[in-house]
Amino acid sequence: MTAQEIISAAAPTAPLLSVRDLSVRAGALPLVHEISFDLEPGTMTALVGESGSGKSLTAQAILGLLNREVYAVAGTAMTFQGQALGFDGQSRPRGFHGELTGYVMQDPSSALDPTMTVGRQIAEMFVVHRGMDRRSALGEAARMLDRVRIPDAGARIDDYPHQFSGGMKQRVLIAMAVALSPRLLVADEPTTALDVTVQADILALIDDLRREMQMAVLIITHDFGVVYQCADRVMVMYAGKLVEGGATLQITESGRHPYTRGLIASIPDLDDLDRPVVAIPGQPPRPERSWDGSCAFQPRCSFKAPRCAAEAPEMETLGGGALVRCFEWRRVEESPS
Amino acid sequence: MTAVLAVEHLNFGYPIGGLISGTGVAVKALDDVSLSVEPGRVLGIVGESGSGKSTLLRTIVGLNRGYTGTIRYRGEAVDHAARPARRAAFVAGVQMIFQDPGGSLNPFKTIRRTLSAALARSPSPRAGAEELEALLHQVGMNASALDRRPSEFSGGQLQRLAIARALACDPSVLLCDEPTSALDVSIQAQILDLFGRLKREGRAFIFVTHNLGVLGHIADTIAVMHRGRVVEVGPARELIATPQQAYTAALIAASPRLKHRGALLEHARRRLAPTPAEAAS
Repeated sequence: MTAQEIISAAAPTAPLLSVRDLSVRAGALPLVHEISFDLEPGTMTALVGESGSGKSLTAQAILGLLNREVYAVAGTAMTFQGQALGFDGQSRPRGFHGELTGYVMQDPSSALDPTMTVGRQIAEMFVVHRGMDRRSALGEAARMLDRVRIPDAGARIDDYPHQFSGGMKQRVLIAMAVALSPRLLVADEPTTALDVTVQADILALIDDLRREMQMAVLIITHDFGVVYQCADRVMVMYAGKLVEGGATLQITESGRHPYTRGLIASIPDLDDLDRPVVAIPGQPPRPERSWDGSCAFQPRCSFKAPRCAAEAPEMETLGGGALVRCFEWRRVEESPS
Repeated sequence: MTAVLAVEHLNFGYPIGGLISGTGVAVKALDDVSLSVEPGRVLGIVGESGSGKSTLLRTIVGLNRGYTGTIRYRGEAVDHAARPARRAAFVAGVQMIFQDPGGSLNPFKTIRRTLSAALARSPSPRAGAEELEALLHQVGMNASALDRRPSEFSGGQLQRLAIARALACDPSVLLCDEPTSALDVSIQAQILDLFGRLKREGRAFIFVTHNLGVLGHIADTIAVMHRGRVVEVGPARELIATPQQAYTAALIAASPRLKHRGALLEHARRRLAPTPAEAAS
């Protein structure tokens, strides 16, 4: 992949995070294949795809969180604020976790320590990274809780996680992730387990923090509605590879990859109840040989051509920072969405 | 058309505190709920966590005892305290499908054993290879699934198998509790297709979900629940286009849609912004 074939906003700013050819294997199983992209400060990028497509693995590989005894991570280059990051997960700059990056996991209940008050768990960030004494750290914790809009935050810092609802726990995780004003927030399905009204609150909160702190956000989701409403850019993953990337409006309104089109057509659209919900037939492939000598999506693809079963498509760079990995993208583009 | 399943003035409370002493007060999970569904129709129930929508389904099938009110199946009141033999028609006729399909499939048993057992309990027991295949065919799967165990299937396939298990008794009503919420959207669409087919066969559904888009596409009638009460009920399209209650309007505004980009966040910010009075204090 050449240097031009990257997902990057047209903005002239230097990327905050730059990833080239990131791959993850578990033993002999290839799970993530040569992913390349840039994240710009102050932008929200959505990583979209089905379960098992490698979205979370990609995020965790960047953060250096994968268990090295299980996963082998490789690539050609990865930089954060211009500084090289190793693929083995070991060589992360001091304070990388917490100060430079924040990570919000999907399941808020398992990410909090049930035996420790919520305030202490947030305060720990300030004690460990800022060397604060416990008292002032708790004061900061209360300020953070207030910032993520927990009512009566000063009193709630003494509560334990079980006294918080799911949405409130998710806010606590966000408070911890952004406590030290990181440059990058990685949020893995942060709203999937929540009610829609709480989801809207959390998304607005993340968006506010992004604006205030000029933080880059990488949000992992499978909900195109969320993507359309919040993200600046979208990367679509299928079977471990990026298959399309570009600006949100371009992708949602005139996606060029049949899988992107299929994902959007399968959404029950509240604004268009007459539009049939069209399923993508079949199942995602198993990882063993998914991209070996053919396109991994072709068994499910309605635009399939003979070539698709004979060789694997390369990523093509189009105008406006758009990318697509499909031999037939011109036909897809011309078909009505 | 007469209702195949109806609930009238249903009330149910979960005890809180004093569970053992029995002195606890009950938190009202269902508050005077009356709803009904006709054959071949889908009654959608939408609401947030704790609104009582799952409690309603659990109460209908008899998993919650101590309710008041009447549950009618084919016009007759159901007595959940009666001996199983007297409730056989109801038990076979009203089947439940859960969010987590693994929950209705025994992980140690092959699909053949699970489905055979379900067929054996049906009103006209028959569990030959032909019946098993027919059952799998109904949910878009084939006989190759029979000798495998649940762990060998994906989430979407498991939900199909859970539906096959429910269909073994040839039910007239399917109670679905967030049946697609754990699935990817492309797989969700496959399952919604399947439900659409079962609906055209004349089966009735009560379909609980927090996803209004799903209900807009599958439901004929939508009931909105909030704190145990039905706050609004009406034809699906009308209710979505012109909600009468502020709560319904708030649920619609919070649904992420593929139109009016940014409206979701704007709406959330407006809702969260302090009122002028709060800001002044």
